[in-house]
Order: sequence, then structure tokens, then C-alpha cells
Amino acid sequence: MALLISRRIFRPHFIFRKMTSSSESILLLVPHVKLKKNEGELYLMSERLGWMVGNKDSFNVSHKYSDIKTQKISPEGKPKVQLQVCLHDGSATTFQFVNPSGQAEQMADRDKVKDLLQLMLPKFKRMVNKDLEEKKLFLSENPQYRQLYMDLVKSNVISAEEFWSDYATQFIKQQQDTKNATQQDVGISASFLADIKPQTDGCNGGVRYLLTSDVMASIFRTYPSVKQKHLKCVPNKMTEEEFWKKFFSSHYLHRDKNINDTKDLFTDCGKQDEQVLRQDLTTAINDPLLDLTALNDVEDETSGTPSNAKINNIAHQNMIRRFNQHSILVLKASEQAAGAEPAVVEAAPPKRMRLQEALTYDDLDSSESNPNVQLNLCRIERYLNGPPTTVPSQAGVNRNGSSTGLAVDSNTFKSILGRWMRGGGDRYNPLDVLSSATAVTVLGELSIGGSLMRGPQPNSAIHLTSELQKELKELYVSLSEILKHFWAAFPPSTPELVQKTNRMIDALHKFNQAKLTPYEQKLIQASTSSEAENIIRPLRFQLQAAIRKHSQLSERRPLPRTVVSSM
Amino acid sequence: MLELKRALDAKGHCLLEMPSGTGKTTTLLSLIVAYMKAHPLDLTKLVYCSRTVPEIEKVMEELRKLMNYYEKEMGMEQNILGLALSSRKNLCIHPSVSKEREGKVVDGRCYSLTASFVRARHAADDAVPICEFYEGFDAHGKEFPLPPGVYNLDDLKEYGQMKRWCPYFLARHTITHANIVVYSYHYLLDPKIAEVVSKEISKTSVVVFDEAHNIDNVCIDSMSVKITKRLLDKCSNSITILETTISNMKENDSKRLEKEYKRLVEGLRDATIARETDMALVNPVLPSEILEEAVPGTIRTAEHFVAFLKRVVEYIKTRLRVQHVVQESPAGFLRDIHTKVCIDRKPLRFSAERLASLIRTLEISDLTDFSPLVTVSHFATLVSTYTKGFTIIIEPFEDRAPTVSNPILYFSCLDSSIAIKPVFNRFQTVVITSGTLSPLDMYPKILDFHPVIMTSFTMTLARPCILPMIVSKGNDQVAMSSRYETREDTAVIRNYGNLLVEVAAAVPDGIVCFFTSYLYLETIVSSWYDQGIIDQLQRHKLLFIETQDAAETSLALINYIKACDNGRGAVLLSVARGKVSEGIDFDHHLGRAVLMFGIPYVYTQSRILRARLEYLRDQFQIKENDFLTFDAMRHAAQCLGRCMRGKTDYGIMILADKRFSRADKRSKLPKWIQEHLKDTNCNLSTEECVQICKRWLRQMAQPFSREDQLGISLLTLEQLQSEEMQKKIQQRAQGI
Repeated sequence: MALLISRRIFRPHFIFRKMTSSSESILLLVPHVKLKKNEGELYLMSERLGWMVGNKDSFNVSHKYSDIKTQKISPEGKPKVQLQVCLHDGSATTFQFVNPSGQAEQMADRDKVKDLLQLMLPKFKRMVNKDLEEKKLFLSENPQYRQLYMDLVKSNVISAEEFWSDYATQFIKQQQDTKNATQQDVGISASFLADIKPQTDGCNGGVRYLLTSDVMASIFRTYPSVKQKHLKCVPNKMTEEEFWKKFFSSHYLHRDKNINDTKDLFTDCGKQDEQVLRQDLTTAINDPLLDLTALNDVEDETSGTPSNAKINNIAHQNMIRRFNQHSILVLKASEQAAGAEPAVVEAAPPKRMRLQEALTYDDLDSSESNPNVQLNLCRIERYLNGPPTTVPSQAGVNRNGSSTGLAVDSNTFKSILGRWMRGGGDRYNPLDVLSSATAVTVLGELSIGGSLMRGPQPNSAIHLTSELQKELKELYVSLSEILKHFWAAFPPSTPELVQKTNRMIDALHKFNQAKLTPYEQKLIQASTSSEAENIIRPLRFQLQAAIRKHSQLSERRPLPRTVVSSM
Repeated sequence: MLELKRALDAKGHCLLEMPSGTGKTTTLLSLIVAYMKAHPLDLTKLVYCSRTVPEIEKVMEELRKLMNYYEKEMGMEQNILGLALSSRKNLCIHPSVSKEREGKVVDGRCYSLTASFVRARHAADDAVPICEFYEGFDAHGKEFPLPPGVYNLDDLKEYGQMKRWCPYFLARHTITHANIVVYSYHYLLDPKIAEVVSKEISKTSVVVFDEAHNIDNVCIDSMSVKITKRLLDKCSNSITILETTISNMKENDSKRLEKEYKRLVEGLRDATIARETDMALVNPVLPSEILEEAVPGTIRTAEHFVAFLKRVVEYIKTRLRVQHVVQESPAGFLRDIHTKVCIDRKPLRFSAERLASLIRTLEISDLTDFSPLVTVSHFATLVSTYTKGFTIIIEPFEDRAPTVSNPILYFSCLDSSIAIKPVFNRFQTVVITSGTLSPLDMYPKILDFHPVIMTSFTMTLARPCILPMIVSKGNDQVAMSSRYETREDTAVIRNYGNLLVEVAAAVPDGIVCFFTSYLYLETIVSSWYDQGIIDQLQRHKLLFIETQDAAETSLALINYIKACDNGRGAVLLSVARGKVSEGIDFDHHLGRAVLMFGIPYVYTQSRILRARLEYLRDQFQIKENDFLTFDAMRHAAQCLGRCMRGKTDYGIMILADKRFSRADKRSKLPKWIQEHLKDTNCNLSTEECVQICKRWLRQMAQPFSREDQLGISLLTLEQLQSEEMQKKIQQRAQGI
């Protein structure tokens, strides 16, 4: 029985390094290597491998070790002796060894290369800045963030770190998501054992099993007891090959056998599995609707049709049990992979719910799901307390300003409401809602010629060139992004938040200098200054509001930086 | 509903076949409740019998929904009390007793805590443990009836916990005045239990037997006794215990024995007006058959009776020591027992009751050990009471293992009408219903009653959501059949395997397969393993197989459902007549296809079956073949019906046996399946079948919304009231 294990070394990271073309030491040179029908020489150097056609002096093909994901070799017994290197980008190059002195030599050549590669590849296994990759990918996938990045980071308004930690919310979310649900693992095929078909090689009656690392992983995941056995035995007691040989000849694999053979290495694995199953029998049956043992209300010994008499082939029964067990274990293995948390037995859904579930027919339910969008609050307490109403005059009492403000507000509301309700005894009098003077003004505003009824202002209809428009949009986006973070830091109750406001205000100033002013210049060139003023005004207004707020704050509190108020 | 109403009006019995998932339970409940409200004098009570505990609980939840609706529409509390009753196992709330899983143990331990003598002892000596919940119930529970409402098993338990009353006895007490009682068939059909539980249910009740396709077997099982060698050995043990207890008691407290003797002399059957908790042992004979006579003198004293029992047991032991199969009538048995050991019929007849009385007198609190002896006493009583409709078969060994001596005495009831007759006679309306009752005319015959209404309903569907097919041959044209002659043929087995593999490759999610018997399942699985079919199957789906161990099967089932839920898909191999086929629903993705491999004929070589067939032929003029086919087809239909649980559900039904296409089999399928079974789909090969499946699945996979059903299989209130629809309904009603 021969055994062949092709190893794969997984190294899914990229490496970006500068090409070095300095002189390298040649570690190994193998002549008679064919690549795509051309014969040539294979060079293994300190940092890369290369292949050149016999009479040339430059490499036709060269791969850096760091680019190589794995190497694969052709199975023994194939007429061609080959070695394949798979690269990270998915491509692969296959070298064929064609030493004229025979297959043995070819094999030797190949093995030399293989061993050396095996030595070299792990050295170049380096953790690349995976982060950088991800960020790059993210930016290329999200153009709006890329623009933001360009605007804010490239122009030094904020630092790149800040950008990634604070601004690219979507990115942060994405990362958290991946952190939470680490990539979904591929489940185990139910038929992995069937895939290891014993193949007879015609000549000497041996049986060969082909075992790939995938299958090995599947076996380990499905049968944890075998894995333990493997850990225990392999380096000390026997070689890898022996272990698998034993495994295949073991009764454990052949399900129709009885597992009570003491000589077998895997007997206790079988027993262990049995134990797990027993345990499951007592714990896992938690669905009242499926528990066959509890189905019948009155158990009667007389039932059991005579056809189900209890003389059966024990071997068959064992086999059937093994099938069930196998399926259960496969399922378990994939479950564990999916939810990384330790296997907590999920509480059975309450019986009543299960029953009701079984009774409801979706098509009979008339309740259309109401299309309300769920409110997604990240800080609930803020939603409940309402925004801190800081009236300018009250700015002095800040700490509990918000609460008093609230109290004031609620009082005013109450009084207003009271006024509404009071009119004419218990009766609600609509006349009390508005004072007549206000009503008249509002009506005036709303009638033709009033301020609210005026059409689009003529002077706002300047025609900006599309380029300028685009720039304006970008400015809006960037500014509002910074402002968002600025206001998010309010009230700055902790030192960190104070820090943040400071940073933001800096950023705002920078933004003003680096972005807004040049743009204004541009606008002035394109049109008149008053129009530019009009267009820019909202931006300026936002900016100034923030800066004013900040300066108010810093007046009250000695801040560790000098306020530049150059607006 | 119309039919049901007619039956209620006529105060007669009816037989209704309604496809599952079309609201059978709701229809029954709502109409009967409405009827009860409208005619409170004609109809006082609804007794709803179902088969399994989950079914019972489902009915209760339906009832709760109905009551909630009533309350919403009428705007007031409804004065209706609905109640589920189950065994102690499911209702006990005693901290330690309820931990037991086996029903018998729970019953035994309950008895040992609540029997009247135990409680009397407790009164004298506090150290004797009693059940505080029963005490609570006994002290207060009887005066305060349950407030109206719907009480499922869990609600009862909760209520019991709250009041510190025993829910089991509370429920049993409440049965008498509850409006709706939901429990298992056995409470009505099994005379042993019916006597205790259902004695006081009034005549003006409606009894509904849901999932009643197996009702004849339940009747027969409840009246049959099986005695093995081991059981007899245990009997001897318990007789020795009885003897020692009697002699002990004689020394210490001979008065009590005397009292019992006197009582028996006076012929008072139940002088002590047995308290409910003492009714642990009951007479297996139907109430009407019990003689109001004094217990005969030969077994009045305790010692005599024990000696008598001993003789009976010994006699049965000698009877078991046979080398060939014996079949005789109860009369023959009685004659033989009289000549051999001089036991008369009359004392035999009283043995069950006498044993109950003795055990009560001896104050034996642990009943579990005595169950074998109780079985024998039941046998003695039954054999001496019924001379017709029963047979005794003694088999020295099993047919399949003629070398292993395993003598068994079967006392088998042949006539299913015996047990159910009192039910038909007593209650004004009995409704027998199930998803699969075809052919309908068989049931009145075998149960010996005259229904006023007998109907099979079909479904109105907006799309063809079942696809029944008969696959008769494999791709190699070899006929597929589980016929006895060909069932071992590798070609047939391989063809079955290929069919399954191909279907597994084409059908998403869950597939359930049913085999004719467990033995057949085992042989097929092992040859599939040898042929590599299992490996092929595992490439597509996970494989789960029903075993004879119920717990293991439950585990497999749970994992099967998990596998279906997480999208891997799975195949479940199971057995017709098995527990899975009877109690588990595979709705929606859990059963997208059902395969029936072979026709699930009952094992025809069994002598009990032979005897029953003969009896049916002689008494009811039912041909053997007719009955066998009927039995096989109802089980096949039962299996097929597993995958359809509502109108939005859809599933493929594959009948893989050539013989299904014959008219006598086909016509016995329920109408709602027959309707969809096209002639063109009756003789398919594997390949054709898979092609049809694929096309159909593509059609079914289209989104199916509520709007598609409206007007066809789903009616809004306006549509229902529209003139056109009314006409249609009228027509239908006329047509039937």
C-alpha cells in the first residue's frame, strides 16, 4: 500500500517589494527542465527561481519566492515528472524534468528542487501589510470615499490615520463585520471518505489510497478523535505515512465492521465517538415535536408489528448507525466552523412557539408587515434625552445646562399646551393656538409676494461650469464630513472629546485655507465676487458656526492651544 | 363543514377524508364549538382524540386561536373550558417524580405517593412521603373548578405550579365538566384506561378521532395480550412476593384480609368507592361485560387466589413448552385449562379484579414490578370473557430464526369493532377523520358501524403543488418492485439506488424515503454500500437513517432537520409503519420529495394477521387481498402525505413500484393524490421521472404570492360572499 501526501502550504498574502536585480547567489541549477516544450535550465536563487532557455543569458520566466503560493508535484507513477508552482495571482507554471538518464534521475532532480523550495518558501512567508491591501481595495471600491480621501488627506487637512479611524465609517463597519463573522468556512463534503477510493495498481496487487491535505483536514474536522490520535502518535510513535496506513486498514474506516477489535489503533476512537453519540442522545433531543420516545401518550408493549421483529443482522445495524453518526459529525464539524463560539447547545425554542409555528399558514395571515424603517440608534441615551438645548445666554451653566434647558423647554411646552387647552372653559379653542398677529404675518409670508412664496432667487441661478459644480459638491461633502465629527464630539465632557474638537477645529481651519479659499478664488475668476460670495456663503456659515462654538468653549476653559480665529 | 353539520344534525357518525394542511382541525373545532354555542342542549361536549402528544398540543393551540378570535369578535370572555389530558408522565410536576422519563415508572411512583393507604399512613406517621401537589388538589382543588379558558399541557402544569395542585388529577377531575377535552385515542378505546378516565363523559358528546387511519389497529392492540417466557418468569417472582406479603400480613394484621374476604363475599365490587388514585389496576374488559356478581368462592381468600394465579402461570408455562405452532380459540383454551389444571371459567374471569383488590389490600405501593402479573391476569379475564373475535396463537420460535427457542403466546383480538363499539353506541356523533382514509368504504366494514356521511374531500389549489408519479422501471428497463420474488435482486436494488441518487441530485433540500420494512431497509442499505450508491448519495446530500432505537432516530431526525435548514440538504431513509411515518411532518423544505420504495404490505406470513384475515373474511366478507391492499395503500398514502402540509407547500411523491400503476392500487389512493396523478405519469423510468421532476421544480420555484392564490384557493371575505362563489359552493355541496 503506497501512500502519497501532497502538501500544500497556504500563504495567502501579497508582498510588494521593490524588484531587486542585484547579483544573487545561485543555490541550485538543474539542467534538462522543460517549460512549454522548450528545454532549458532551472535556477533556484536566493530570492527567486528562474528558468532560461539553454543558450540565453536572461530568464524567460522568473518567480519571486514571495509570489509563490504553493508547489505541487506530479504523483508517482505518472510518465511525466513535473513540478508546478502556483502563484498568488492564480497562475501557475509547470516544469517538466527531462533528464535523459532516466526517470529515476528526473525524480531526483525534481526532489532536489522540491526540497529546496520547501526550505525557501517559508522564509518568504511574511506577513504583508494586509491592512494596506484592504484599504486600497476599499478605496477603489468606494469612489466617494476615495474622493474624500483625496480631498482631506492628500491636502493634509487631516492625517491618514484619522481618516481611517474616524471618517471611513463604512470601512470600519466592514472591518468589524469581517471580524465578527470571520469568513464563512467551506463545509465538509459528506462524501469525503468516498473520495478516497482504494485504487488497485495492476501490477503488484497493492492498493493505493490517494490522500490530499483537503481530505486530511476533513477527516480531522469530522472525527476529532482521530485528530487527537494523530497528535498523540504521529511524531513520536510512527510516521505520518504509517498512521494513515493504519487508518485505512482500520476497521474504523470500514463501517460494516464491528468496532470491538482491541488490536486496532482506532478502537478507542470508535468508542469515543460512541460516547459522544450517547451524550447527544441525552442532551441534544430538545425538540418536543421530534422526540419519538415521547410521541405516544400511552406506551403499549403490545404494539410493534411482527414484521419488525428483533432479529437483525448486527453488522447492518452497525453500519446504519455509522452512517447516521458520520452525517451528524459532518454536520457538527461544519457548524463549528461556521459559528466560532464554543458549541453551546442552543436552547430549544419554547414549545408553544414551535407549536404555533407549526400551525400558522403564511398565506392566511392578513397582517402586512408595516413598512416602517427601524430606527437604528447608536446612542440611545441621546435620543431619549433630546439634544442639549444650549441657549447662548445660558452658556455659563454648561454641566447641567442640558437638564435645566430641558426643564425650561418642557415648562414652556406645558404652558403653551395649557394655553391651547384652556380657551373657553374645558373646550378646546382653536383661536388660542395662534395669536392673530402671528397668523397674519404667516399668511402674508405665504401669499404671493411673501418671502416664503418667492420663487427661486434669480441670483442663485448662476451657471457654474460642470467642473466647478463638481468641485463644489466635493467641498460640501468634505466639509460636512469634518463638521459631522466636530459636532459629534459635543458636549466635550471627556479630555478625549476635547482633544477631538481641537483636532477638528484645526482641520476646519486647514480646510478653509487649503480648499475653500482657492475655490473662492476660482469662482471669482469665473464670475463676479458677489456671486461667489453667495455660493460659498452656506459653507462659510457652517464653518463659522463651528468655529464660534469652539471659541466659546475655549473661552471658558483654558485650552492647550491658541485659538486661531482668522475668519 | 356542510357534511359535518349534517352529521351533527342527524346525530349520526361520519367519516371524512380531508387532505392534511387544509385546516382539518380548525374546521372541526370551529364548527363544533359554534354548534355547541347554538344548541347547548343537544351538544354538550367535544371529545377530540388524536394520536400523539404533539398532535394533541397542536389541537389545543388551534383551539386557543379560535377562542381568541371569538373573544375579539364578540368582545367578551367565552365561557368555554378546553382541556388537554395526557398521562402522568407529561403532566407531573412533582420535583423528583417528574424527572423520570418512562411513563410506567412515573405512574408507579405517583401511585406510591398518592394511594389512599399511603396517605392514611402519612396521617399517622409524618415520615411517609406523599405528594404535596396531590394533597393540595385534594384539599382545595375539587371545590374550585378551573376558570374557563384553554388549557394545554403546559398551561395545566403552570396552573398547577401556581396553585400547588396536581395538574394530572386536576385535569382528570375537570374532564367531567370541561366543554372540550383533547386526549389520546387510548383514553376512549383502551378499556383499561377508558374505564378510569372517560367513564363519566355524557352521551350528548361529539367524539372526533383525528388521524384515524390506524384506528382499527389501535382497537386491536388495546385488546390484545402478548405473553413471553420472560414475562412468566417475572410473574413467578411477583407471586412469591405476594405470598410473603400475605403471610406477613397474616401474622400482623389479619383483620384486613378478613375484611376483604367479607367484602368479596358480599359481592360488592367496589365497596370502598375506590378513590381515583387507587385505580391503578383496572379491568381490561369493557364495562358492559363486567358481571355484577360476587367474586366466586374459590379465589376469595388471598392465599387461594395466589395459589390460583400460580396455577394459571404454571399452566401457561407448560403451554409455551411446545415444539410447533398452536392456534386455538378462547373456548378451546378454556376447555384445555379446565381439563388439565381444573380451572373454571368464572374465577378466571374475575382474576384481574381480584388481583387489583388484593394489591390494594396488601398496600403494595410499588406497582411497576407487578406489571407482568397484571398482564397475565388481564389475559385470564379477557380469554374467559370473549369467545368470539379472539384467537390464541402460541409460537415456539420466530419464523426467521427457527433454531432459537423464543416461545410467545399471542392472545390476539381479531375484531377491531369490539373495542370501539361502546364508543359508537354511547356517543351521539363520532367523527372519524384523517388525511388518508381511502378507500372509505372499508372503515365502516371493519369497525362495524353505519356512518350517515362519508366523504373524501380534495384540495383547491392555485398551482399543482403535488407531483405524484409512479416509477416502474429503471433506466435499464428492469422492472422495479418490492415483490417477494424480486426484492433480493441486485438489479432491482441498484435501480432503486440510482433512482434515489438521481432524485437527490435534482431535488433541493430534504428528501424522505420510505421502505416497506425495517429488514428490507437494512438489506438495501448494505447492498447500496457495496454497490457504491451510498457514496454517490453522500456527494449530494447527507444521509440519515431511521433505526429501531427511538432515541437514536430522534437524534438523526434533529440533525436531518438541521441539515435541511442550513441548506446542505439531506436524505432520510425511513420505514413505512415506523414511528417517523406516523408522527413526524416534513413540511416545506424538510420534504421536497417523498419516495416510496415498494408497496408497504404488512408481513403476510404472520399468523396473527392470517387469523385476522380469516376472521374478516368469515365475519365481514372482506377478501384477504382487498384488506391487505387497503392496509398497504393507506400506509403508503400516509407516507406520501408527510410532505404536504398546506397549500403553499409543494412536494414530489414518487411511488417506486410497478404494482402501484395497477388499477386496484391506484384507485385506493386518497382522492386528493389521485387527482394529480396523471395517466402519463404512471409508468415512468428513472430518467423520465427525473426530467419531470426538474421541470416541475422549476415551475414551483417561481415566487408564489398571496395574490396568486386569491380567488382560487384563498378567498377574501368579499369573494366568499360574492354570488358567484356562493353558487359554486352550492354546486359542490350538491355534487357531493
